[in-house]
Amino acid sequence: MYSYTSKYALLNISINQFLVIAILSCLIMAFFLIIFVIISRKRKIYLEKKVYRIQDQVQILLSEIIFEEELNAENQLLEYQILNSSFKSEIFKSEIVRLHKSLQGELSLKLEDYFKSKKMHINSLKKIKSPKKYKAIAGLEELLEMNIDTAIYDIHKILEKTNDIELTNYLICTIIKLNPSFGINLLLNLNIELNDWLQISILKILEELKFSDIPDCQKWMKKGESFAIFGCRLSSYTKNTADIPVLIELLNTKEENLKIEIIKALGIMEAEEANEILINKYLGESTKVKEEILKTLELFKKSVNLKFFIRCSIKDTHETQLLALRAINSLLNSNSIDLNTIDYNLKYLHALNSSNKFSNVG
Amino acid sequence: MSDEIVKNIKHFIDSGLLIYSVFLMSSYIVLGMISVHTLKSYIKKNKNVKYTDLLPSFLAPSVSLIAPAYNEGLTIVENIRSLISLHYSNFEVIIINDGSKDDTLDKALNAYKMVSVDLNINEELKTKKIKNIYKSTLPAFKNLILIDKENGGKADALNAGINIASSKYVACIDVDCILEQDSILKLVKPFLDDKKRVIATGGVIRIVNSCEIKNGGITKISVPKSWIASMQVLEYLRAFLLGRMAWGKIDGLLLISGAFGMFDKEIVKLAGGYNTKTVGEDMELVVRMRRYMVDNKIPYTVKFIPDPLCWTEAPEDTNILGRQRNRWTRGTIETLWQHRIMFLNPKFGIVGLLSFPYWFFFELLAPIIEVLGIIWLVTSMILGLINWTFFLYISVFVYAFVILISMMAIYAEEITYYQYKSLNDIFKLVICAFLEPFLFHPFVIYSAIKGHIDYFQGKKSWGDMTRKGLKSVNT
Repeated sequence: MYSYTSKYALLNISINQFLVIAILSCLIMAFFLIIFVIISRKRKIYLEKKVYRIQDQVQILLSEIIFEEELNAENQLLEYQILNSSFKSEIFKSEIVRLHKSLQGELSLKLEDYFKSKKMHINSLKKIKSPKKYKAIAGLEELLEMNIDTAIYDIHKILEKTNDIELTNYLICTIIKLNPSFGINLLLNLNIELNDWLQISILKILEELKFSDIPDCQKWMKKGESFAIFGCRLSSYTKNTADIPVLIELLNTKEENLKIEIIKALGIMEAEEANEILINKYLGESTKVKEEILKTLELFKKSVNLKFFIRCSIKDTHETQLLALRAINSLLNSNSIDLNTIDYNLKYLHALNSSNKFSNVG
Repeated sequence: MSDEIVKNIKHFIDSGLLIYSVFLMSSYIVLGMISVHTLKSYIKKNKNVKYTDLLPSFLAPSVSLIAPAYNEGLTIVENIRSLISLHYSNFEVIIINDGSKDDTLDKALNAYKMVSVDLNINEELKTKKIKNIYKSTLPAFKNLILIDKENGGKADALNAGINIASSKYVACIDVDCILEQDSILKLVKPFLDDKKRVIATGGVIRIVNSCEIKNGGITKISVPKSWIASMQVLEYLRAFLLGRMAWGKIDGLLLISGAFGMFDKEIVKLAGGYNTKTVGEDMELVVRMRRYMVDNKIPYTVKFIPDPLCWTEAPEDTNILGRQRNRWTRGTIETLWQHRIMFLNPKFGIVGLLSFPYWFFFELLAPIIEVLGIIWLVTSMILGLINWTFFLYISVFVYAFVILISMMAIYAEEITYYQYKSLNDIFKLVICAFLEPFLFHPFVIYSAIKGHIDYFQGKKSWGDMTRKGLKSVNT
């Protein structure tokens, strides 16, 4: 009894001691978290004020850099002070990059020259070699924005070594922006997945640069589904009519997503030669593909399609019926259809109506 | 002998409660750590993302913003204006007047010069009768559609909106919420950059009480003046930044908030749309969509982003708050019961093996176990079985732990978007953390227990959720 009590008593004490330690641990951790929050907040406020002060100085300096031939003595001293402080020079660099985004023509070139002359691009090149991914990406942004095309070699080397998908995407976008021809051809040789976001980024870059010298559609089709889809989108972007026969041939693909993109591309490119083929394909396709076919045929605005639209508006799923009705509406509102054709099709519609029930027709 | 039996029973119950508590607390710590780590990665990753690249792109997917409205006459005009002015290039706004008894419909029709149109509806999802559909004649509001229908509840109204929606993705929102200008851009991105098919995305819901609002946007963010709302701020920070962030990371999220979530319309329809028979329609839809994808063997994911995208009004009245928590409990029970086949079912992966059990044991049962624990405590006191020293230590430990979790939430807020700029707001949240276990938590437990009772009594209604309405600051 005595030994059980003392053993139990011993255990009881140690549980209480454990709880005391646990309580203190929780309170100390909570305390440190709050201290961190307070210090972090004060530091942010302090840094914000400091950055604002430096930004004000930098703004004056930048105005003179852009609009004057030379800096005055006072600003030369200021420039020297800023460039010799790593903190201030980072702010200065980010202000230059930010300002560059809103400048064009000679002024932006002047800023780029200044950036290079002060060897700021060397610091950016060092950043992109950093093992810290987000530091590398920040460096890429700087090189990209300031058009440091001499950085392509270094960027390419990093691209060859890295396995990180996110970094790869940034690297490829940077290369394309600095040298679109080289970048696009480099992209064709990569084995990566081109997600929609990356495709949007690349297309935006090509649009900004007004670059349309893209490898033809067939080359993209050999690389896998995401590349094939991107190839279709590039065709839509360039509106290269030479791609139309290739796209039409690829309509036989079993990949539904690719087929949809091909049909969309044919619509954007107004490839009316695909009209008959799309109509013939319609019946054997899934609802999603049928919807795309109808949307594309609507874009063609061909009066011969009216009968087809009428049939689809009656004999199909709700979604396709609605799209067919929209296509009919669009065709009737356009100038591409004459009264005789309308009259003929109304009779056709009446004949169909007598033998079918409409649903949800407005 | 009977002493021995009593001691054994006590030991059994004490051990059971202890084991439950250890698991519960461990889960909070684990989720908290996963969340903080994920938040830090996300902030770094997101710094360089150019969301505006999507705006001019022909690849920008179409989005339908669907917002049911019931008796929103006070604020409907402003709410619609703020939705229409969101930064996105390819979207439509569908407002559903769900049989409002006030002047919601008239105000909207007059303000936006709306006329009745013949719009063909795909009634794939069955809803109450649609009386009329309106479109605006003003060019600036050409993407605005208003559906006038018979009252059928939020889920029914959302289904009507989904039927009309012509976009690939549908964003279902509460009409009186304030959305950040770039909220659609941010919510749509996960659909575009994930390898798997993303079927739903959600973001953080924040509390707008006491914030300054101007022209449909928030100009100054503060912790609410009311203590009830302040404690809800802390609660939401814990739930979103420490809870959902972690579940999103491991793809075990069961709930996208009904205040603002974006969904793949095709999957919503295939899964059957919103369930009109539950009061937790938001959670039930996500769970059902997940089940659909698994049953059809389609790889998929549900994403959560920590960006504060949506601001909503928190109840400051205890009656309304009680009704809200009551409804949340009933909704949880309904969903978990309806989809009980997922419980510990390896077919559903993380959702079946982790999320579902977590929700069952630690979200649903926690209030019941807590109340049973209190009853057992009182019983033990009466029977003279309490080891008072141990009881004091354990109570202080639980209190200290709860404070720690709240501080983690404040820390998570600080390292992400630190919306509360003033240090006074931080101090107020810290005070809330200390007071919450005594003032707010018991009320929440009481409402949850009442929710359980009401569920088993067959209560189905939402209850009156009157809001004050978000008013702009006059300049």
